[in-house]
Amino acid sequence: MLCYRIDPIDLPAREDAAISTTATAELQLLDKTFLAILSSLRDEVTQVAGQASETILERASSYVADDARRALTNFHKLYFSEDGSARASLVEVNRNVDDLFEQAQTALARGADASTLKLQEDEEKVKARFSFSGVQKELEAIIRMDEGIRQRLVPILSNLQFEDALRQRLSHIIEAWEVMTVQLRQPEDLDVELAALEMGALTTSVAERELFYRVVVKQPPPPEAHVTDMLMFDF
Amino acid sequence: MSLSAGKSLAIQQLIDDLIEFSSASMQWCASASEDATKQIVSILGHLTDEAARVASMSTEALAAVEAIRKSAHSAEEGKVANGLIVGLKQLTADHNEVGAFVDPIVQALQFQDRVTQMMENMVRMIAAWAIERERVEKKGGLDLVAFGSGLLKATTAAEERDRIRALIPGLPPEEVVDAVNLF
Repeated sequence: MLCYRIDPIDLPAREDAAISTTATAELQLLDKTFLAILSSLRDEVTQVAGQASETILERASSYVADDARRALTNFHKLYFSEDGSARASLVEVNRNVDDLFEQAQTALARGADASTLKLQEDEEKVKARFSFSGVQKELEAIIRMDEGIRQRLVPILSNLQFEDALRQRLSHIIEAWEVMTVQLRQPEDLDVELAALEMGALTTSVAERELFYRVVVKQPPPPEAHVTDMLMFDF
Repeated sequence: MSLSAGKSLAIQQLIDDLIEFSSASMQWCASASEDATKQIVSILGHLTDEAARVASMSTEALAAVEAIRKSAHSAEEGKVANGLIVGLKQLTADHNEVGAFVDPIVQALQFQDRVTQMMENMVRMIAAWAIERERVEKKGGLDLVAFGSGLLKATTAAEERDRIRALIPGLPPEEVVDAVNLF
Protein backbone atom coordinates (compact mmCIF):
# COMPACT_ATOMS: atom_id res chain seq x y z
CA MET A 1 0.00 0.00 0.00
CA LEU A 2 1.29 3.43 -0.89
CA CYS A 3 2.29 5.66 2.00
CA TYR A 4 0.74 9.10 1.69
CA ARG A 5 2.95 10.81 4.26
CA ILE A 6 4.95 13.52 2.55
CA ASP A 7 7.60 15.89 3.75
CA PRO A 8 6.80 19.53 3.05
CA ILE A 9 9.53 21.47 1.29
CA ASP A 10 10.26 25.16 0.86
CA LEU A 11 8.41 26.81 -1.94
CA PRO A 12 10.27 27.46 -5.16
CA ALA A 13 9.44 30.83 -6.73
CA ARG A 14 8.46 31.17 -10.39
CA GLU A 15 8.02 34.14 -12.68
CA ASP A 16 4.38 33.51 -13.47
CA ALA A 17 3.08 32.39 -10.11
CA ALA A 18 4.56 31.43 -6.80
CA ILE A 19 3.94 27.83 -5.90
CA SER A 20 2.50 27.30 -2.46
CA THR A 21 3.90 24.77 -0.03
CA THR A 22 0.61 22.92 -0.33
CA ALA A 23 0.90 22.75 -4.11
CA THR A 24 4.48 21.52 -3.83
CA ALA A 25 3.45 18.84 -1.34
CA GLU A 26 0.55 17.91 -3.62
CA LEU A 27 2.91 17.62 -6.57
CA GLN A 28 5.11 15.29 -4.54
CA LEU A 29 2.11 13.15 -3.69
CA LEU A 30 0.96 13.14 -7.32
CA ASP A 31 4.43 12.18 -8.58
CA LYS A 32 4.89 9.50 -5.94
CA THR A 33 1.51 7.97 -6.68
CA PHE A 34 1.97 8.07 -10.44
CA LEU A 35 5.44 6.53 -10.27
CA ALA A 36 4.09 3.72 -8.12
CA ILE A 37 1.38 3.14 -10.75
CA LEU A 38 3.93 3.25 -13.55
CA SER A 39 6.11 0.67 -11.75
CA SER A 40 3.15 -1.59 -11.20
CA LEU A 41 2.08 -1.32 -14.86
CA ARG A 42 5.65 -2.04 -15.94
CA ASP A 43 5.47 -5.29 -13.95
CA GLU A 44 2.17 -6.14 -15.64
CA VAL A 45 3.42 -5.37 -19.15
CA THR A 46 6.68 -7.31 -18.75
CA GLN A 47 4.73 -10.23 -17.30
CA VAL A 48 2.46 -10.31 -20.36
CA ALA A 49 5.44 -9.92 -22.73
CA GLY A 50 7.04 -12.87 -20.92
CA GLN A 51 3.90 -14.95 -21.48
CA ALA A 52 4.12 -14.16 -25.21
CA SER A 53 7.77 -15.31 -25.24
CA GLU A 54 6.96 -18.49 -23.34
CA THR A 55 4.12 -19.34 -25.73
CA ILE A 56 6.45 -18.85 -28.68
CA LEU A 57 9.15 -20.99 -27.06
CA GLU A 58 6.65 -23.78 -26.52
CA ARG A 59 5.47 -23.49 -30.12
CA ALA A 60 9.07 -23.50 -31.33
CA SER A 61 9.57 -27.01 -30.00
CA SER A 62 7.77 -28.33 -33.06
CA TYR A 63 10.03 -26.77 -35.65
CA VAL A 64 13.50 -26.31 -34.17
CA ALA A 65 15.97 -29.00 -33.24
CA ASP A 66 16.09 -30.22 -29.65
CA ASP A 67 19.48 -28.65 -28.90
CA ALA A 68 18.32 -25.24 -30.12
CA ARG A 69 15.06 -25.46 -28.18
CA ARG A 70 16.93 -26.52 -25.03
CA ALA A 71 19.39 -23.63 -25.42
CA LEU A 72 16.53 -21.18 -25.98
CA THR A 73 14.63 -22.39 -22.92
CA ASN A 74 17.76 -22.25 -20.76
CA PHE A 75 18.48 -18.76 -21.97
CA HIS A 76 14.96 -17.56 -21.22
CA LYS A 77 15.07 -19.08 -17.72
CA LEU A 78 18.46 -17.56 -17.06
CA TYR A 79 17.71 -14.14 -18.38
CA PHE A 80 14.17 -13.60 -17.12
CA SER A 81 13.09 -14.57 -13.66
CA GLU A 82 9.56 -15.76 -13.01
CA ASP A 83 8.29 -12.26 -12.25
CA GLY A 84 9.73 -10.94 -15.50
CA SER A 85 12.74 -9.14 -14.04
CA ALA A 86 16.26 -9.89 -15.20
CA ARG A 87 18.08 -12.63 -13.38
CA ALA A 88 21.32 -11.94 -15.11
CA SER A 89 21.38 -8.68 -16.99
CA LEU A 90 23.52 -8.51 -20.09
CA VAL A 91 24.35 -4.91 -19.26
CA GLU A 92 25.44 -5.79 -15.74
CA VAL A 93 27.57 -8.62 -17.02
CA ASN A 94 29.12 -6.30 -19.60
CA ARG A 95 29.80 -3.69 -16.93
CA ASN A 96 31.40 -6.35 -14.79
CA VAL A 97 33.63 -7.32 -17.70
CA ASP A 98 34.53 -3.64 -18.21
CA ASP A 99 35.44 -3.37 -14.52
CA LEU A 100 37.66 -6.45 -14.77
CA PHE A 101 39.33 -4.98 -17.84
CA GLU A 102 39.97 -1.70 -16.01
CA GLN A 103 41.36 -3.57 -13.01
CA ALA A 104 43.75 -5.45 -15.27
CA GLN A 105 44.85 -2.31 -17.11
CA THR A 106 45.49 -0.44 -13.86
CA ALA A 107 47.43 -3.32 -12.35
CA LEU A 108 49.57 -3.75 -15.47
CA ALA A 109 50.23 -0.01 -15.64
CA ARG A 110 51.54 -0.25 -12.07
CA GLY A 111 53.98 -2.92 -13.17
CA ALA A 112 52.09 -6.05 -12.13
CA ASP A 113 53.10 -9.35 -13.74
CA ALA A 114 50.42 -10.44 -16.23
CA SER A 115 51.06 -14.14 -15.58
CA THR A 116 50.31 -13.84 -11.86
CA LEU A 117 47.68 -11.10 -12.03
CA LYS A 118 44.61 -11.75 -9.84
CA LEU A 119 41.42 -9.76 -10.39
CA GLN A 120 38.79 -9.08 -7.77
CA GLU A 121 35.32 -10.33 -8.64
CA ASP A 122 32.68 -11.57 -6.24
CA GLU A 123 31.29 -15.06 -6.56
CA GLU A 124 27.81 -14.02 -7.75
CA LYS A 125 29.25 -11.95 -10.59
CA VAL A 126 31.51 -14.81 -11.69
CA LYS A 127 28.52 -17.14 -11.71
CA ALA A 128 26.37 -14.70 -13.69
CA ARG A 129 29.14 -14.04 -16.19
CA PHE A 130 29.85 -17.70 -16.90
CA SER A 131 26.25 -18.87 -16.99
CA PHE A 132 25.13 -16.00 -19.18
CA SER A 133 27.98 -16.08 -21.65
CA GLY A 134 27.86 -19.87 -21.86
CA VAL A 135 24.23 -20.02 -22.89
CA GLN A 136 24.58 -17.01 -25.17
CA LYS A 137 27.58 -18.55 -26.93
CA GLU A 138 25.71 -21.82 -27.33
CA LEU A 139 22.81 -20.03 -29.01
CA GLU A 140 25.08 -17.95 -31.21
CA ALA A 141 26.87 -21.10 -32.32
CA ILE A 142 23.54 -22.72 -33.24
CA ILE A 143 22.45 -19.61 -35.16
CA ARG A 144 25.68 -19.63 -37.16
CA MET A 145 25.45 -23.30 -38.04
CA ASP A 146 23.32 -22.76 -41.09
CA GLU A 147 21.02 -20.24 -42.70
CA GLY A 148 17.91 -22.42 -42.29
CA ILE A 149 18.30 -22.66 -38.51
CA ARG A 150 19.12 -18.97 -38.29
CA GLN A 151 15.93 -18.02 -40.10
CA ARG A 152 13.86 -20.22 -37.81
CA LEU A 153 15.39 -18.88 -34.64
CA VAL A 154 15.41 -15.19 -35.53
CA PRO A 155 11.69 -14.60 -34.77
CA ILE A 156 12.05 -16.32 -31.40
CA LEU A 157 15.22 -14.49 -30.43
CA SER A 158 13.77 -11.20 -31.67
CA ASN A 159 10.86 -11.71 -29.33
CA LEU A 160 13.19 -12.34 -26.40
CA GLN A 161 15.12 -9.22 -27.36
CA PHE A 162 11.93 -7.21 -27.43
CA GLU A 163 10.97 -8.49 -23.98
CA ASP A 164 14.37 -7.42 -22.67
CA ALA A 165 14.33 -4.00 -24.37
CA LEU A 166 10.82 -3.32 -23.11
CA ARG A 167 11.75 -4.11 -19.52
CA GLN A 168 14.87 -1.97 -19.72
CA ARG A 169 13.20 1.03 -21.35
CA LEU A 170 10.37 1.10 -18.81
CA SER A 171 12.75 0.62 -15.88
CA HIS A 172 14.97 3.47 -17.06
CA ILE A 173 11.99 5.84 -17.29
CA ILE A 174 10.96 4.97 -13.74
CA GLU A 175 14.53 5.19 -12.41
CA ALA A 176 14.98 8.62 -14.04
CA TRP A 177 11.82 9.87 -12.34
CA GLU A 178 12.99 8.45 -9.04
CA VAL A 179 16.18 10.50 -9.41
CA MET A 180 14.09 13.55 -10.32
CA THR A 181 11.71 13.26 -7.38
CA VAL A 182 14.58 12.77 -4.91
CA GLN A 183 16.28 15.89 -6.31
CA LEU A 184 13.05 17.88 -6.03
CA ARG A 185 13.02 17.35 -2.26
CA GLN A 186 15.78 19.94 -2.01
CA PRO A 187 15.33 22.10 -5.10
CA GLU A 188 17.77 24.74 -3.83
CA ASP A 189 20.58 22.15 -4.13
CA LEU A 190 19.40 20.82 -7.48
CA ASP A 191 21.94 21.24 -10.27
CA VAL A 192 19.77 20.86 -13.38
CA GLU A 193 22.63 19.91 -15.72
CA LEU A 194 24.14 17.38 -13.32
CA ALA A 195 20.72 15.87 -12.62
CA ALA A 196 20.09 15.51 -16.37
CA LEU A 197 23.46 13.80 -16.85
CA GLU A 198 22.79 11.49 -13.91
CA MET A 199 19.48 10.46 -15.47
CA GLY A 200 21.08 10.13 -18.91
CA ALA A 201 23.63 7.69 -17.46
CA LEU A 202 20.77 5.33 -16.63
CA THR A 203 20.13 4.71 -20.32
CA THR A 204 21.91 1.72 -21.82
CA SER A 205 21.16 1.59 -25.54
CA VAL A 206 22.45 3.89 -28.25
CA ALA A 207 18.96 4.85 -29.46
CA GLU A 208 17.66 5.43 -25.95
CA ARG A 209 20.63 7.56 -24.97
CA GLU A 210 20.41 9.62 -28.17
CA LEU A 211 16.73 10.25 -27.47
CA PHE A 212 17.44 11.28 -23.89
CA TYR A 213 20.23 13.66 -24.85
CA ARG A 214 18.23 15.21 -27.69
CA VAL A 215 15.13 15.80 -25.58
CA VAL A 216 16.56 16.49 -22.12
CA VAL A 217 20.25 17.43 -22.33
CA LYS A 218 19.89 19.26 -25.69
CA GLN A 219 23.24 18.10 -27.02
CA PRO A 220 24.64 14.98 -28.69
CA PRO A 221 25.56 12.18 -26.29
CA PRO A 222 29.27 11.66 -25.61
CA PRO A 223 30.88 8.50 -26.99
CA GLU A 224 31.40 6.50 -23.83
CA ALA A 225 31.34 3.07 -22.28
CA HIS A 226 28.33 1.25 -20.88
CA VAL A 227 26.18 1.92 -23.94
CA THR A 228 25.27 -1.01 -26.14
CA ASP A 229 23.09 -1.54 -29.17
CA MET A 230 20.78 -3.39 -26.74
CA LEU A 231 21.06 -6.56 -28.79
CA MET A 232 21.47 -9.82 -26.96
CA PHE A 233 22.40 -11.55 -30.19
CA ASP A 234 24.25 -10.62 -33.32
CA PHE A 235 22.12 -12.36 -35.96
CA MET B 1 14.24 29.45 1.37
CA SER B 2 12.89 30.39 -2.05
CA LEU B 3 14.46 29.73 -5.41
CA SER B 4 15.41 32.29 -7.99
CA ALA B 5 12.99 32.62 -10.86
CA GLY B 6 15.68 31.42 -13.27
CA LYS B 7 16.40 28.26 -11.31
CA SER B 8 12.73 27.56 -10.82
CA LEU B 9 12.16 27.80 -14.56
CA ALA B 10 15.16 25.57 -15.28
CA ILE B 11 13.77 22.90 -12.95
CA GLN B 12 10.36 23.14 -14.59
CA GLN B 13 11.97 22.80 -18.02
CA LEU B 14 13.80 19.67 -16.85
CA ILE B 15 10.53 18.16 -15.64
CA ASP B 16 8.80 18.99 -18.95
CA ASP B 17 11.69 17.48 -20.92
CA LEU B 18 11.65 14.34 -18.80
CA ILE B 19 7.94 13.94 -19.46
CA GLU B 20 8.59 14.30 -23.19
CA PHE B 21 11.41 11.73 -23.03
CA SER B 22 9.24 9.28 -21.06
CA SER B 23 6.44 9.60 -23.57
CA ALA B 24 8.76 9.20 -26.58
CA SER B 25 10.48 6.18 -25.02
CA MET B 26 7.13 4.50 -24.36
CA GLN B 27 6.04 5.23 -27.92
CA TRP B 28 9.21 3.44 -29.04
CA CYS B 29 8.13 0.43 -26.93
CA ALA B 30 4.67 0.44 -28.53
CA SER B 31 6.24 0.58 -31.99
CA ALA B 32 8.75 -2.20 -31.13
CA SER B 33 5.83 -4.29 -29.91
CA GLU B 34 4.30 -4.07 -33.38
CA ASP B 35 7.57 -5.35 -34.84
CA ALA B 36 7.56 -8.21 -32.35
CA THR B 37 4.04 -9.07 -33.53
CA LYS B 38 5.27 -9.31 -37.12
CA GLN B 39 8.06 -11.64 -35.98
CA ILE B 40 5.50 -13.93 -34.35
CA VAL B 41 3.63 -14.09 -37.63
CA SER B 42 6.77 -15.10 -39.49
CA ILE B 43 6.71 -18.29 -37.39
CA LEU B 44 3.63 -19.25 -39.39
CA GLY B 45 5.80 -19.47 -42.48
CA HIS B 46 8.21 -21.87 -40.78
CA LEU B 47 5.38 -24.01 -39.51
CA THR B 48 3.86 -24.41 -42.93
CA ASP B 49 7.29 -25.39 -44.31
CA GLU B 50 7.21 -28.65 -42.45
CA ALA B 51 6.52 -31.40 -44.94
CA ALA B 52 4.48 -33.53 -42.56
CA ARG B 53 2.29 -30.64 -41.56
CA VAL B 54 1.87 -29.41 -45.12
CA ALA B 55 0.69 -32.87 -46.12
CA SER B 56 -2.12 -32.70 -43.59
CA MET B 57 -3.29 -29.28 -44.78
CA SER B 58 -5.46 -28.53 -47.76
CA THR B 59 -4.09 -26.29 -50.51
CA GLU B 60 -6.81 -23.82 -49.64
CA ALA B 61 -5.76 -23.67 -45.98
CA LEU B 62 -2.11 -23.26 -46.93
CA ALA B 63 -2.98 -20.39 -49.24
CA ALA B 64 -5.02 -18.77 -46.47
CA VAL B 65 -2.12 -19.04 -43.98
CA GLU B 66 0.22 -17.47 -46.51
CA ALA B 67 -2.23 -14.64 -47.20
CA ILE B 68 -2.57 -13.90 -43.49
CA ARG B 69 1.20 -13.98 -43.03
CA LYS B 70 1.67 -11.48 -45.85
CA SER B 71 -1.08 -9.22 -44.53
CA ALA B 72 1.02 -8.57 -41.39
CA HIS B 73 3.43 -6.48 -43.41
CA SER B 74 0.77 -4.24 -44.91
CA ALA B 75 -1.45 -3.89 -41.84
CA GLU B 76 -2.16 -0.44 -40.49
CA GLU B 77 0.07 0.55 -37.60
CA GLY B 78 -1.52 -0.22 -34.26
CA LYS B 79 -3.82 -2.84 -35.74
CA VAL B 80 -1.38 -5.54 -36.80
CA ALA B 81 -2.11 -8.06 -34.04
CA ASN B 82 -5.83 -7.43 -33.95
CA GLY B 83 -6.29 -8.01 -37.68
CA LEU B 84 -4.17 -11.15 -37.57
CA ILE B 85 -6.01 -12.62 -34.60
CA VAL B 86 -9.35 -12.17 -36.39
CA GLY B 87 -7.95 -13.68 -39.60
CA LEU B 88 -6.36 -16.67 -37.84
CA LYS B 89 -9.45 -17.42 -35.78
CA GLN B 90 -11.52 -17.44 -38.94
CA LEU B 91 -8.95 -19.69 -40.57
CA THR B 92 -9.22 -22.19 -37.70
CA ALA B 93 -13.00 -22.12 -37.95
CA ASP B 94 -12.87 -22.84 -41.68
CA HIS B 95 -10.06 -25.43 -41.61
CA ASN B 96 -9.95 -27.64 -38.52
CA GLU B 97 -6.61 -29.14 -39.52
CA VAL B 98 -4.71 -25.88 -38.90
CA GLY B 99 -6.00 -25.35 -35.35
CA ALA B 100 -3.22 -27.29 -33.64
CA PHE B 101 -0.48 -24.98 -34.84
CA VAL B 102 -2.42 -21.76 -35.33
CA ASP B 103 -3.97 -21.62 -31.84
CA PRO B 104 -0.67 -21.09 -29.96
CA ILE B 105 0.25 -18.36 -32.46
CA VAL B 106 -3.12 -16.68 -31.80
CA GLN B 107 -2.39 -16.93 -28.08
CA ALA B 108 1.05 -15.33 -28.50
CA LEU B 109 -0.47 -12.59 -30.67
CA GLN B 110 -3.09 -11.91 -28.02
CA PHE B 111 -0.37 -11.46 -25.39
CA GLN B 112 1.57 -9.22 -27.77
CA ASP B 113 -1.55 -7.20 -28.59
CA ARG B 114 -2.09 -6.63 -24.87
CA VAL B 115 1.51 -5.41 -24.55
CA THR B 116 1.02 -2.95 -27.43
CA GLN B 117 -2.25 -1.70 -25.94
CA MET B 118 -0.76 -1.30 -22.48
CA MET B 119 2.17 0.68 -23.88
CA GLU B 120 -0.21 2.96 -25.77
CA ASN B 121 -2.27 3.36 -22.60
CA MET B 122 0.82 4.26 -20.60
CA VAL B 123 1.67 6.97 -23.14
CA ARG B 124 -1.81 8.42 -22.58
CA MET B 125 -1.37 8.19 -18.81
CA ILE B 126 1.93 10.09 -18.98
CA ALA B 127 0.10 12.83 -20.90
CA ALA B 128 -2.68 12.88 -18.27
CA TRP B 129 -0.08 13.10 -15.51
CA ALA B 130 1.66 16.03 -17.23
CA ILE B 131 -1.67 17.89 -17.54
CA GLU B 132 -2.54 17.22 -13.89
CA ARG B 133 0.94 18.34 -12.76
CA GLU B 134 0.52 21.62 -14.60
CA ARG B 135 -2.95 22.15 -13.16
CA VAL B 136 -1.88 21.38 -9.58
CA GLU B 137 1.20 23.54 -9.94
CA LYS B 138 -0.86 26.54 -11.03
CA LYS B 139 -4.02 26.09 -9.01
CA GLY B 140 -3.40 23.39 -6.39
CA GLY B 141 -6.30 21.25 -5.20
CA LEU B 142 -5.06 17.77 -6.05
CA ASP B 143 -7.86 15.23 -6.17
CA LEU B 144 -6.16 11.85 -6.43
CA VAL B 145 -9.41 9.96 -6.92
CA ALA B 146 -10.38 12.21 -9.85
CA PHE B 147 -6.88 11.78 -11.29
CA GLY B 148 -7.09 8.00 -10.81
CA SER B 149 -10.51 7.93 -12.47
CA GLY B 150 -8.94 9.66 -15.47
CA LEU B 151 -6.20 7.01 -15.57
CA LEU B 152 -8.78 4.23 -15.46
CA LYS B 153 -10.34 5.67 -18.61
CA ALA B 154 -6.99 5.23 -20.39
CA THR B 155 -6.92 1.49 -19.67
CA THR B 156 -8.21 -1.41 -21.71
CA ALA B 157 -7.69 -4.36 -19.34
CA ALA B 158 -9.05 -5.19 -15.90
CA GLU B 159 -5.50 -6.06 -14.75
CA GLU B 160 -4.37 -2.48 -15.40
CA ARG B 161 -7.35 -1.06 -13.53
CA ASP B 162 -6.77 -3.41 -10.58
CA ARG B 163 -3.20 -2.18 -10.30
CA ILE B 164 -4.29 1.47 -10.33
CA ARG B 165 -7.02 0.80 -7.75
CA ALA B 166 -4.47 -0.88 -5.49
CA LEU B 167 -2.49 2.36 -5.37
CA ILE B 168 -5.29 4.93 -5.20
CA PRO B 169 -7.80 4.01 -2.51
CA GLY B 170 -11.33 5.24 -3.10
CA LEU B 171 -11.59 4.53 -6.80
CA PRO B 172 -14.86 2.91 -7.89
CA PRO B 173 -14.75 -0.88 -8.20
CA GLU B 174 -14.86 -2.68 -11.52
CA GLU B 175 -18.32 -2.64 -13.02
CA VAL B 176 -19.86 -6.07 -13.16
CA VAL B 177 -21.19 -6.68 -16.64
CA ASP B 178 -23.83 -9.36 -16.89
CA ALA B 179 -22.91 -12.06 -19.34
CA VAL B 180 -25.10 -11.97 -22.41
CA ASN B 181 -26.12 -15.40 -23.59
CA LEU B 182 -27.67 -15.39 -26.99
CA PHE B 183 -28.44 -19.08 -26.93
